[in-house]
Amino acid sequence: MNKIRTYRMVALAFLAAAAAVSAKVKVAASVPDLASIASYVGGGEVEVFSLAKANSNPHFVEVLPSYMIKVSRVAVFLKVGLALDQWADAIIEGSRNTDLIVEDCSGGIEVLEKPTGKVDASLGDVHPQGNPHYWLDPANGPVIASHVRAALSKADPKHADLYAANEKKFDEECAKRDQDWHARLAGLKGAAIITYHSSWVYFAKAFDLRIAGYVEPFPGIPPTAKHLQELIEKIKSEKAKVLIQEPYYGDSDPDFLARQTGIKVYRFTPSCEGVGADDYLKHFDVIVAGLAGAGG
Amino acid sequence: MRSWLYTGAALCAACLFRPAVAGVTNPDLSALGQVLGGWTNDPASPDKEDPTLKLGEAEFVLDAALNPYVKGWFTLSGGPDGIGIEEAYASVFRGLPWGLAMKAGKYRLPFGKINPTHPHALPFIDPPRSVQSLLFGEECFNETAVEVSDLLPTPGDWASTLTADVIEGKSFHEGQAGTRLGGLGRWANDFLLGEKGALETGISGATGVDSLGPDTRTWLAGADVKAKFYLEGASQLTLQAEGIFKHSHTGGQAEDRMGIYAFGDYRYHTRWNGGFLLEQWQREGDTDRNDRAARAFLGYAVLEESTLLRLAYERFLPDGGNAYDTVTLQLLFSMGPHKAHQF
Repeated sequence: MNKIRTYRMVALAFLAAAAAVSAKVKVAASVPDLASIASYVGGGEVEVFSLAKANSNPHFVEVLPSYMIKVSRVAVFLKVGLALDQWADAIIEGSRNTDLIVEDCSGGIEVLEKPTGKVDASLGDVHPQGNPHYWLDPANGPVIASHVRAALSKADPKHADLYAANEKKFDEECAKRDQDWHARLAGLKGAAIITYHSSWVYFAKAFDLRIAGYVEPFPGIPPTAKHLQELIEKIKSEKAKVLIQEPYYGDSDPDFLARQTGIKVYRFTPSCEGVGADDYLKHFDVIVAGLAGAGG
Repeated sequence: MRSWLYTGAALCAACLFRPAVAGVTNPDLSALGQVLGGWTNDPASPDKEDPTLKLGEAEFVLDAALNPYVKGWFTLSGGPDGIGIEEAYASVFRGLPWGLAMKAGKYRLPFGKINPTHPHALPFIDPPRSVQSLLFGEECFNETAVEVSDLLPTPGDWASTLTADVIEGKSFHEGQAGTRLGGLGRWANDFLLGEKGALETGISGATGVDSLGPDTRTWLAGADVKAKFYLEGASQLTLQAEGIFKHSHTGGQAEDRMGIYAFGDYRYHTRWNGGFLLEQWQREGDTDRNDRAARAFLGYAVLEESTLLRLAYERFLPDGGNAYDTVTLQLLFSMGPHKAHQF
């Protein structure tokens, strides 16, 4: 009899635990950075995943039915916006999730490279609303966190205070670590750098780096031999020592530039590797640690 | 059947005849063109062993949200013979009960993997001959229809979609005056293979009458599987196969025949792709004969997805006849958001 009672209690405990797990607010994000910040702000009350992976190009994510079914079960979807994650619209639409709270995290961002004239494909893959890689400026982390807090509070009002407290904690942590990152990259202040794609304009602005040129002649367009030759001259004349390349682009052109000019190639993903609470901040640790030696 | 149609009509009406609050809808406009060069030693071709150059079929696509619940889509295709409506449909993607989605209009029917896909989105130039032979030729299985689909409740990343269409049925009795409705169903299941791939399996079935005179019915059944593997960099490997069975009536005689194709496509760093396709099918009107074809294909995105160069070599082996070769070179260019191929 006692045994039966024990089994019942264990079963009840399991059910209670399962209910507690399922009570978490489920959050989907377009990129791991937004997901990581959601993990920080949501704490133990959220379950988070990202559709794009750190090592994949966030401009192109395949719209798979399995993503739609995942999104059909979430309460909040965090979008980058600025036309980066247009693929997310098809996933959201296919999910048929009518209760989904879709939060565009670009609101309130000081958008860079906003085109002023006519935008068409002759300019390459230009985003008409401006450069969308804003999460690479740590000063924009708190802006994203405020969007996350707003969306989570709407989905789960009873934990709104917790989300507000976690947002504050995140902002403080971000500011504290930002000081350290700035100190470590002080030697690079004003230095000319080359980047493959225009993913790093927010990062460059944040740390006073000067982007002297891109491996791509236009955004999204692979380099020609003539463009590489011009870039070699620019690297030499600007004395650029750092070339940042996203790993999903081919290595051959950056390696060619390195051989011709001695520029050092740094391969960083533009997004953090995981969706844990500290992963967004750790990503800057990795980039800063990699670049710190280049300042000397 | 009638009550089902009434229910569908009521659901449509509930969504479509809401107060007009959607405001202005500016459709996305896209155009796709193609230039085709070719050479063949097909004895039946008037251009046997002479190189050819021609403008292929062009496509004009207009699509837009009509309101927060409904999207509209038009595909006009045209060539030297004029312009026709290839697709024109509205789809209700939100707001229906039980997570249902609806679609009504003329569109490429969801039978298998090749039929619903526009040829410019395939990794090769022409659809497999086996599919063309069993699914109503070059024009494919494309009809006026009403569709309801549902995402079934499934655990984990498994996505299971059930689709049912009531179709005009014209493809089954082409050229005859009048129509008799037909039906189509598909059950597709998609799985993520971790972060490194995705698997899709599907079964499809369709039916309609061959003739408005004697009640002869065609049955179509198909099974398909597609696996995609994401490799280092932006490279990926796609393996796909599809088998189709058709029971129909030719010259007053019942006929059962089958066809199957399989292909592998390797996409290297988004700009290059190449692969092989093998297929076999029973000939219409002479099911003892099994025709076969093998092709190799190569594609190159000149700068990005809006301009594609594609090359195909095919060896066609008609059962009991002489094999012949065909080489096709295609330049495919597109403007607007509906690109030739998704990178």
